[in-house]
Amino acid sequence: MPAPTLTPTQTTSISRLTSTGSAALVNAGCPFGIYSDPTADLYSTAFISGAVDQVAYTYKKLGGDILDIEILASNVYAAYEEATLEYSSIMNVHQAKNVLSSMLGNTTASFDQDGTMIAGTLKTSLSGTHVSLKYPRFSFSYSRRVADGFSGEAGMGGSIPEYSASFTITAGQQDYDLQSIISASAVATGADRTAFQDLVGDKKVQIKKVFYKTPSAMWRFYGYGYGGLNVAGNLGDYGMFSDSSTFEVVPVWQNKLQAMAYEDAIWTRTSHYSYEIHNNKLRIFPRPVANISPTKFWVKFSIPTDAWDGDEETDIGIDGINNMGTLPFGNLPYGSINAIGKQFIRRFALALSKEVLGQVRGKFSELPIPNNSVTLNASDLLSQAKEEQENLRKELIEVLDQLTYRELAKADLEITDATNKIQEKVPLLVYVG
Amino acid sequence: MSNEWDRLKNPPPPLFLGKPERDLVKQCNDELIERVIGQTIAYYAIDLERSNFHDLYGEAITKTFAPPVRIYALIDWEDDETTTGDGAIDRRQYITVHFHKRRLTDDQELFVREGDFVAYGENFFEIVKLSEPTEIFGRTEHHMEVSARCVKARDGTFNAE
Repeated sequence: MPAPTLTPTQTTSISRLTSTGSAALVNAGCPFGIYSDPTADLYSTAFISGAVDQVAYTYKKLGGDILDIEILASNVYAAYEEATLEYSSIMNVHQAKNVLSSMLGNTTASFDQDGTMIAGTLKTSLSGTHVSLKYPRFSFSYSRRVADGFSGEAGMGGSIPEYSASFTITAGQQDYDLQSIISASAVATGADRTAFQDLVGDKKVQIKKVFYKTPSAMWRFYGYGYGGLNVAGNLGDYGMFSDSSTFEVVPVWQNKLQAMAYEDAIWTRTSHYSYEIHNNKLRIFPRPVANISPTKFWVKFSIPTDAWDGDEETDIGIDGINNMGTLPFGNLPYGSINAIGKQFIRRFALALSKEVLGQVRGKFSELPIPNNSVTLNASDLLSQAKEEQENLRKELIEVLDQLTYRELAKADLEITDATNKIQEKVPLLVYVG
Repeated sequence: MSNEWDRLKNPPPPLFLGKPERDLVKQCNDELIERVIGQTIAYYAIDLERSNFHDLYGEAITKTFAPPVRIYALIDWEDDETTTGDGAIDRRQYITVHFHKRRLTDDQELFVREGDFVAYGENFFEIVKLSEPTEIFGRTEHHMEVSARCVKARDGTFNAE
């Protein structure tokens, strides 16, 4: 029931919250119109209804039945929109904690001034769905990135291209300037053009390996009777028919590791030559001898690049998501916010409305009245509004922090451990009647 | 503008305290005075046209007044003032009625005059002095109140019963 109007009617401009809202006026009251503008991606009739209801809720909660509330319904609509966006932001931050590690390097997006994703490749592929609402695969993205760097350093893969070059040995000459040799090759053209043409410049190349003949030891590893390593039989016949023996089924990676270890041993243990390298200047030991020493030596190397340089041929995620700030999270659709969220929005919007009311009532420290002045409850309203907003945010964030995927996994572990301990207490095969 | 001291035809509004602020003051005052405090008087405006004034002394023993109007206002009740004269004791009762000026002028189209009467409680008081002592936000063109000092009407001076 609205407060009784004064008699005679006040003819001057009155700022007073009405007891009910109006759907037709919601959009005009929302500064951003993210959910209220009929042309907006996230337009929602449910949001309009929610904003209208919020006016009645605010009116009741602030005592509009009894005394004037010197704000307008449009202030409430704006507060409702802000509360929805606040909830959306907090939820997105929470989800970022959950999924950032899996999304590093993934496709980014562009957003307009409202935080709504604009047309682009990702928006097209999402077909109206929202990344922030998905339950993504767990992909160890950052761990993979680290492993990528390690494997590159170890010469076992990675995303840094590795090149090779060769130079001709001169009898009696031990010292060779690899930097000069490679730099010269990098500018060669025509038939001598290299894969690393124009990539070296004055960059110091990183020499990974020096060798002088093509490794050809793989056959020995699998070759029966000559150096077979840790393998009984040739995995083709012996193991299949041998009696009185058991054999483990060996994973392929184990065979590969064995092969690599064996190759490495051959490359180094049976090599006649060794070298020192300082500042990419190579010294070969022993001194090369004509007609005996190999005529060519090879080096494998990589060319340092800026950490943010992409790969020309493949997308390795350099331009992808790198932190929370580039996650393709837009504002949450109003219709996807559940009852928990809706109640947060109502309470937060009420606190925001209270803040506006406090600002209005607090513009003057004292309000003049005939023969005196009065102090309104602005400071109370402002402190309440601030406290309520802080508490609501804190309450939601604390709950969400207890519910991150990591915390859920920990909770699962605790439950499992506890269950196991309970099981330990259960007497097996002993029945007490 | 001919010289720098001329008043602008359309001066800019005050930066911080303009009409919206004054309207807010009025709104809060309306509510405070009428809904929260609720003190009322009945205002009896003397009808100068229809009162029968004495030709010589100018006094109207029987005063004709316009229909009374209920007005919310803040009223200061003062102690009785007793004076002793030549063999007689005279007791006078004063009140000061603080009218909310904009409520009167903007909404009720009323104005207060010296010589009019107000009924407060069961007594009639005659307005003997008017003033407008407070400005709104220090702006001389906007006054907060009309303050009316009133003295209790002696029996026979005014009788609306």
